[in-house]
Amino acid sequence: MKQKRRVLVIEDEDTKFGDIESVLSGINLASGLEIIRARTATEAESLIEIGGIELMVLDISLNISAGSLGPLRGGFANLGGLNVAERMYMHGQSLRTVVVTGFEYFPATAGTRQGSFDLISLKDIEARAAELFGTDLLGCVRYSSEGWDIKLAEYAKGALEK
Amino acid sequence: MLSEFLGKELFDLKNDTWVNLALTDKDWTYIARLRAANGHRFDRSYLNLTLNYIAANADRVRAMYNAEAAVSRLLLSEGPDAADLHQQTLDKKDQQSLFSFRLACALHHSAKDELVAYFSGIHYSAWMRKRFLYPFVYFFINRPPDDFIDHHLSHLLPPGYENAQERAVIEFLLKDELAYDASFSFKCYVALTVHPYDACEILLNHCEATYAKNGMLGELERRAIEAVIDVVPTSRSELLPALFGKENCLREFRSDIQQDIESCFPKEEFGGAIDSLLGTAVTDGRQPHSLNQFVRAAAQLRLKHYPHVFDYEIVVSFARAYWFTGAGRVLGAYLTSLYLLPRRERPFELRELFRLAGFCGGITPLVATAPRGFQHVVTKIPNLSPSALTDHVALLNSPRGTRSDRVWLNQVHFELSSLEHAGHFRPWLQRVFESLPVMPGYLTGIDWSWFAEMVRLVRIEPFRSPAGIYALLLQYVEGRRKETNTLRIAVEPAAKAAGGLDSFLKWCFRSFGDKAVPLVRYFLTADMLLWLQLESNYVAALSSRMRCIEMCAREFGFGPLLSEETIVQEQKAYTAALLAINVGANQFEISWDILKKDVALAQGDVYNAYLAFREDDDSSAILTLAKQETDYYFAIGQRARYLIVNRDWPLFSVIAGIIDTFMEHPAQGIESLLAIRIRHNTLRREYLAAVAQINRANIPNVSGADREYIVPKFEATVGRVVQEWVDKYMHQKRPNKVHAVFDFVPGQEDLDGLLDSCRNHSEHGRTFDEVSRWIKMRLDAQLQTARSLLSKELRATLQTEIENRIVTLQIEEPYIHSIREIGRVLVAALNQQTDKLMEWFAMPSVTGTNVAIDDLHLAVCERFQTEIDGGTLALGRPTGRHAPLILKDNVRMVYDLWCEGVLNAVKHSGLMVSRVRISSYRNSRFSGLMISSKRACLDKAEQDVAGHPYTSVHDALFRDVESGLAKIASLSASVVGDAVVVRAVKRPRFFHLVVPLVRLNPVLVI
Repeated sequence: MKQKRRVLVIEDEDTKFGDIESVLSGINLASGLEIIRARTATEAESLIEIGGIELMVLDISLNISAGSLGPLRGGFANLGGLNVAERMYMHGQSLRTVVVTGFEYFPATAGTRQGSFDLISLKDIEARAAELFGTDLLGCVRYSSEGWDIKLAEYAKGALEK
Repeated sequence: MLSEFLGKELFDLKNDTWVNLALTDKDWTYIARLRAANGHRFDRSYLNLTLNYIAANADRVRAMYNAEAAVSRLLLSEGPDAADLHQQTLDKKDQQSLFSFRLACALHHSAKDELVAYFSGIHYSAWMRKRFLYPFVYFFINRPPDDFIDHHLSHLLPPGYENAQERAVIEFLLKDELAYDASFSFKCYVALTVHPYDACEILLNHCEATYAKNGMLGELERRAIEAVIDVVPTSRSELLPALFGKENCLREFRSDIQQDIESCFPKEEFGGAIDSLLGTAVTDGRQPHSLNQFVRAAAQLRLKHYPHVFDYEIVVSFARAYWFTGAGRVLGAYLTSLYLLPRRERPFELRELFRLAGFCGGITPLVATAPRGFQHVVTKIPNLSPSALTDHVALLNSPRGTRSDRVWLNQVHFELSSLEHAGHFRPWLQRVFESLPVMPGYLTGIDWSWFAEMVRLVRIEPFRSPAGIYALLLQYVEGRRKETNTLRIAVEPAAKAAGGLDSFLKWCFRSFGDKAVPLVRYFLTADMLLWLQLESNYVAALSSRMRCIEMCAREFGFGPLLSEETIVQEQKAYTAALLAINVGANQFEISWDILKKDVALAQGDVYNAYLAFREDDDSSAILTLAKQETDYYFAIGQRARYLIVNRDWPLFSVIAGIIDTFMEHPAQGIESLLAIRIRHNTLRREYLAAVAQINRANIPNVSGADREYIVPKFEATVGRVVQEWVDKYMHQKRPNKVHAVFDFVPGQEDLDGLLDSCRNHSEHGRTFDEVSRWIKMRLDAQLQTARSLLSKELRATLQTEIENRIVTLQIEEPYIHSIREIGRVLVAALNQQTDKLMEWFAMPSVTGTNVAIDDLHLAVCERFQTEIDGGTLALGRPTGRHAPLILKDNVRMVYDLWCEGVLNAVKHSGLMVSRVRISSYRNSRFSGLMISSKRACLDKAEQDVAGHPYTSVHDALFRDVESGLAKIASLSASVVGDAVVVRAVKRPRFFHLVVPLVRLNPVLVI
């Protein structure tokens, strides 16, 4: 019996995770699919460390660790998904990845020009993700935009069928 | 070359008719051609024209070089006033030179009347008056750092400026020596439109830049230098052949001339050094105390281990103002050589190095130890090995760490450069660790671009040592970066190996010694404790962050990096964070103070320049009232078209900057609030929570099974409707968000009103207040719209969609008859939720002064979330009718004593599960809290613990370190503001702590 292909979905929102899960489950693979979920950035890093994952679906804004406060109060990283990606880069870990995010603009917390603040757009995120993942970055998808589910399915299918 | 006759005929500056920068529309076509990729085809012909132009006006060029040398001498000896007098003696035509314009601006940057008078008396071209003079004067008054010129121009030349050629010319004329990439023909073309002296300077700057960039000169550049020397065999032009060609002093280590750095910049005779550097007798060998303030301050920079900021600012300001003179150039190179300026790209630093070598007469120890000095010396001087060079540089003979002057840093960097050259990165990190302390406000001199490249190449492995972690910390502190992810990744293994926060701190103290203080202070934030998994939730991390700071103070005492004041600031931040967790449902609570501070930081320069320019006299020659209609792109990408008079552009920049900051500030900006507090699933989550609640409620006449089966089927509908509403309205207005509720882009009328109301203020703070008042009014109106949309549209849509869903469910599930009843209850619950959520969009009001005990209870629950989730602790909700209100200033202390009480209960319970309950009490003197817990023992006892208020930060840190009860008593006394007694009561299986918090009915002493 073929081993199921493992997909790590890093997503803190339940509804969004549910939508992503149903898109991925709809992909017809001979081997079947096992979806593993990480709700926080630190949980994601631990799962990546363990390995055995063939595709990663990465959200950008994440809670850093477990806790019931959520983004309203603290312990939340606007660009937490990129922190996870940078950690992988620094450790030389590679994993085919699709970035799926609901944001259009992200308040930047790093590297902006002196005395000013920038909003980072999805394009900037894509560029930074491309730097970190190289050819492992399959694409960036804006969740709930038109055809997002089709794009995600295409990326995932392409990666998992290889 | 042309004959003398032809040259005179064609290029001589005609009396009374010649005007500087007489550019017209036809010039832009030519300039565009010369700036194109193949513009170098024209280099030779345009250079020929320029050289003819210079030769034909040799007398004017010589006169101006003499004037420049005299001005430099006067600036460094008598001071700016004497230089001003000298300028007034310039020939009328020479007063049209860029040099003269620049000098006027530098001399009168704070005296606008004199500046206006100067420019009123000058003849200039129409283009110059209309397009160039304003940004030029603005630039010279404001003196932005080089890498800010582009950003700065964007405040002056409205964005969307159509004529790129025109902007390129303006940028070039502002500081042509920065134009490393512009074509030679373009530079020559511009040179032909300015005074021949300026043309010479453009050529010399180009040659320097070319050599710095390419390490060699082309034939055209050599020709240019030789031709200039033929005309002006003095001053700066004489240095260049020594640098580039004939004598080639950059290929020789001049240890025979300069044995050590003192002989280059002597301690006692700095003025003499300036003499030798400029090749002139400007200071007549006077002692430093009789020199002018610039030279005295420059001498101090060299003598102090860490120069005083006052001296630094004087010299930097001088070098920036007079960069176009020999005096400015020597001080600029000097500042660079002592690592007093942020590191720059290679060509810039090499150019400064060549200038320094030129001033010093060759490669001296100062040159060899300056930025890029080592690499240049090793690669350019034949047969000189690094070790031989080290031997030559006498200053390195002084043992490490023994120098008390600024040269200690040159010594460190010489060694670092040698390690860098040899590719020994780990020893490099170790040397940084040993030699460079964290000194906020001072530069380490490390080239962080090179360092970032190393991080990219070698990745994380070399950084996992204390030395590697420390280098990343230095980078973080010096760069004021807000992200610490690389540092976090480097620290992670140590944090994991430590297994807990206390052990990790011990490791830090052991590995870093007192360098652990900046590591803890700057790096170990609450968020970082979460990333490192040293804490499990945010509130616990906040407490731990404070504890780390306090432990550092206990371990190493107070110092510049961790003072009592720092602890007070940390406590305030901690209190604010605790308040933010629990208090107020309002999502648009904005800290205007933070915005004000950050805007002031970002806009200080722009505002000061605006003040310098503010002109009451509308007939001013410089500040024309000409109006420009132009586009402005706000931070979120929205474009607005405004008609503004020239002189209002700086004030407009200030106003637009405040609005931009409000739009995009990462913590307090409207986009951040909308993105994080509203759009990030937050509103949807609240509605889905209401759905989930219905799923747990008893609905009359509906079976539990039906309810649990049907309610989840409404979730998707509710989620979709809310999300659509959020997507449609909860944005700032821009082209693809036309229905967005929030819009802070002022219309022309708004802007005119803002300009009018801000024009008379002389403080940035007042301008901010005016603009923020306008923003608040607008925010108020938009929040009202949001409330209305929530209350009417979203409520109605939810109702309609649920009705539709009921109908489809009745078809899909024909055997369940309670669908309508469930739907009805659900609609009621969602309506209730809508009513509650209206509070989210209330206009922030003046915040209350008290905090309820229930709010603090939530914070304490968060603090112990891990223990609660693990089943080892149960915290009951506060009970009692007399719950005291806590003043906001006391929140941290009450929270701390509460947590301490819980910890005490857990420590002494002796049970598998500690149960702690809080009740409020009130007696004749106090109201307060009773912290009750279950315990295993059956003994009985009572103890009174006296507490006295903490008298200082030191007292709070070092008193009661050992005893939890004593700490609770002291905190209680500090909250009450007087001595108190905390009563500890042991009863069989129970323990109670009675903690006073508020004194009641104070006795009046008559």
